[in-house]
Amino acid sequence: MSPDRPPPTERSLKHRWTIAISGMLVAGLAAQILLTGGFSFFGTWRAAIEWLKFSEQQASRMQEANSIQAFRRLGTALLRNPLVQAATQEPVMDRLQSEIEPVLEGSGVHWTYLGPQGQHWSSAEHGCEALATGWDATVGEDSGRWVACGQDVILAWARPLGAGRLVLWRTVDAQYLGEHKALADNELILWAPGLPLVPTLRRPDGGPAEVHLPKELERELAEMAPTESRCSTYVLRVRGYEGYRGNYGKGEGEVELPSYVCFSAINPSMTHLPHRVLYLIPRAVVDNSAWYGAMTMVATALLVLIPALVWLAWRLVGSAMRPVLTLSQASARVAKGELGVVVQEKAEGEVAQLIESFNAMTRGLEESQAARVESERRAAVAPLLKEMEIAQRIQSSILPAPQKVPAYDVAARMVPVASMGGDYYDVRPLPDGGCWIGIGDVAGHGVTSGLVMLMVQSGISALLEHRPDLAPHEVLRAVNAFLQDNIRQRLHSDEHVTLSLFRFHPDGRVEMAGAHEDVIICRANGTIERLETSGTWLGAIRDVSPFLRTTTFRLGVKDLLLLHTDGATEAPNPGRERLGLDRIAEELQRRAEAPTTEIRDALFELVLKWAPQPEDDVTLLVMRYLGQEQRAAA
Amino acid sequence: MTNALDIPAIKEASFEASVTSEDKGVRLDLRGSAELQVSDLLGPFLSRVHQEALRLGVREVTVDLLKLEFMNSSCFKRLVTWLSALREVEGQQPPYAVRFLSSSRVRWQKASLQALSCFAPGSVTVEARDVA
Repeated sequence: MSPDRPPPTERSLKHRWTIAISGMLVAGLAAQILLTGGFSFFGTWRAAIEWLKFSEQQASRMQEANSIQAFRRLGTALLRNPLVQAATQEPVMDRLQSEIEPVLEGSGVHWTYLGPQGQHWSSAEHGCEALATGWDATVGEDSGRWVACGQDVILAWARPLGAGRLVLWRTVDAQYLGEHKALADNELILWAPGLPLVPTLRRPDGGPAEVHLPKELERELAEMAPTESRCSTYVLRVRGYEGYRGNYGKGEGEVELPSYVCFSAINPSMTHLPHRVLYLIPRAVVDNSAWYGAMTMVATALLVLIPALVWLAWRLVGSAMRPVLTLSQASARVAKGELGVVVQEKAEGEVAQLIESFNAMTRGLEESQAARVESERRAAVAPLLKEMEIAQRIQSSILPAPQKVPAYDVAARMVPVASMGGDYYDVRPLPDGGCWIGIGDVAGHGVTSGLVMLMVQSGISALLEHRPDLAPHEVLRAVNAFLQDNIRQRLHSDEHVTLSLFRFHPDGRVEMAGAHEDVIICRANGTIERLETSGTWLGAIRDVSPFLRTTTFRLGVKDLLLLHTDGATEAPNPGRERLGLDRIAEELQRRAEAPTTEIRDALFELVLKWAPQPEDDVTLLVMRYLGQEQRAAA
Repeated sequence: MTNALDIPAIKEASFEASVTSEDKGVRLDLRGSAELQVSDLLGPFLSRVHQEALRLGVREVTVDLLKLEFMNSSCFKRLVTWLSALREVEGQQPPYAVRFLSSSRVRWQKASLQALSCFAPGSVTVEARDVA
């Protein structure tokens, strides 16, 4: 594939393959149709002959059974008629005639009574001497037989009635053939040498059509044995033929009617008469059937099979091509920069290997890309990280080293978080044995917070260095003034500082100013006290004098005091529950007898156990008042 | 959601803030836990409230903290910035008053709001209610 050519879409590939496979399938189908249609067409003649033969057999069997049944029904009706019974006890022809004929009226069946004294009475118009012979010797209860009666063929049935026998019979004529045709499902012609043909082919007005058999057929019929059956094709000439079932061969005047013809004796038992029944089907019927059959197949193929085959081809192609198409699309996505594409299609053989290789390639590309991005990210943030590192180093480096305060035992620690929280604490010992302690937190995070914290530390240190006699609120007021100016006017930022400043005197007296977190005192007797700080935060407004004041409280010997930042009390556990000051105070109370360093460590352990990854700087300062004696000893 | 003042509410998993109009002016409802990550949303939100209050000339903005369980210092910083902006509006008097409704049972609210009220003592009041 040329690198400039876009990858084939799923639709185009699928279309091509579908058209190819559909073409093959349709070609196969067309060949099948042609072969099948051809066989169907050329096999029609033999099928028609078989059809005729079968029809002949079926019709013969069914006709005889039905005729016998019809005779039996009529005979039973007559036997049950008491008037007929009475008439046969003392036979009188007129009485029999008047009782029997209403029952047989319209059935096409005639009657003959063979009396014990040689009576041979029949219905008025019909009579057949042949019926009188042979019944006594061959007939038991009842029996049917074919009888030749002059030129007519008669189907007869006899049964005992009264002192004689009643024979019911009918002539094999057009009516009989009509019934026979219905059974055979073919056109029929009754043929006998020298007799007019009796056909079932009808004219439009309902009368029998005029049929002429070709001489060859006449000759064949005359020469064939009485019991023989055979089939052949002939062209019959017909006048006034309506057409087979009204559908074919309509014409005016005489038409030639090529037909398939089977002929046989009217009944296999009737060997003494040359009558034949001709079963025929116009060839147009069969040929048209074959043609329509083939056309139906073609139409079915066009309307149903071909769409079905195309659909099947579409599905087959879709199924077979899916992995390849997916790979193609995935390649396009990779080309657009989506390197992490993983193909999850199931496939076998070479395609499976191709997918595996593709996935390995994209994995490699993605890892390479990730490494490059990480490298670039590190390069980009390196200056910032460096800046943060410097700021954090400054924040840590200005924290006070462990200071010796004669009257107090002080242990403090700050644990900063990576984003630099801005916590502040400082311990400045005084010559009198006391100290200054400040603790605070710059609202916000980041380098600016750290810088503000530095300003706070520097400002307080400078002030206390110069004026250690100031009250805590005075120190804070001065710090706030320059802090507010620096933050708001110079940095154009909006940080503020929560800050409490304490002056610890050697006699246990403590002066305090500034709003920060509550102060916890654990008295030597174990009592916990919680002192609220007051005032306002620094750095937000220019003059905080009205809100700052110094308050005083006193520590007794061995009293513990805890200062902290909100990073400790607001440390969240994984369920986002805050640690809270109460838990810290309880731990302080529990460890009250321990050295301050140990208490500090225990409190840190409590915080870090509660919140393994603190979100803010954590500062804890624990101090114990040692008393004047300790100061003196120091 | 946008309220009548056309200030979109904040709807986070653990924190919600919304503004409604009332007879005296505007009412802010802060609910839930205002963590560090909320501060970036809260700053612009309060700024919009301030601008709308000025535009509408309201007399009072009520800040309901009764259902606020926690507020990170960075979020408090947004309140400080808001009140600082209120102080800096030119004129002899702040254009509107801010009234905080706090729960007297929530310790941090008492201490923090007391410090906060100092930024605009004439116009910021804290009303503590005995609500769990």
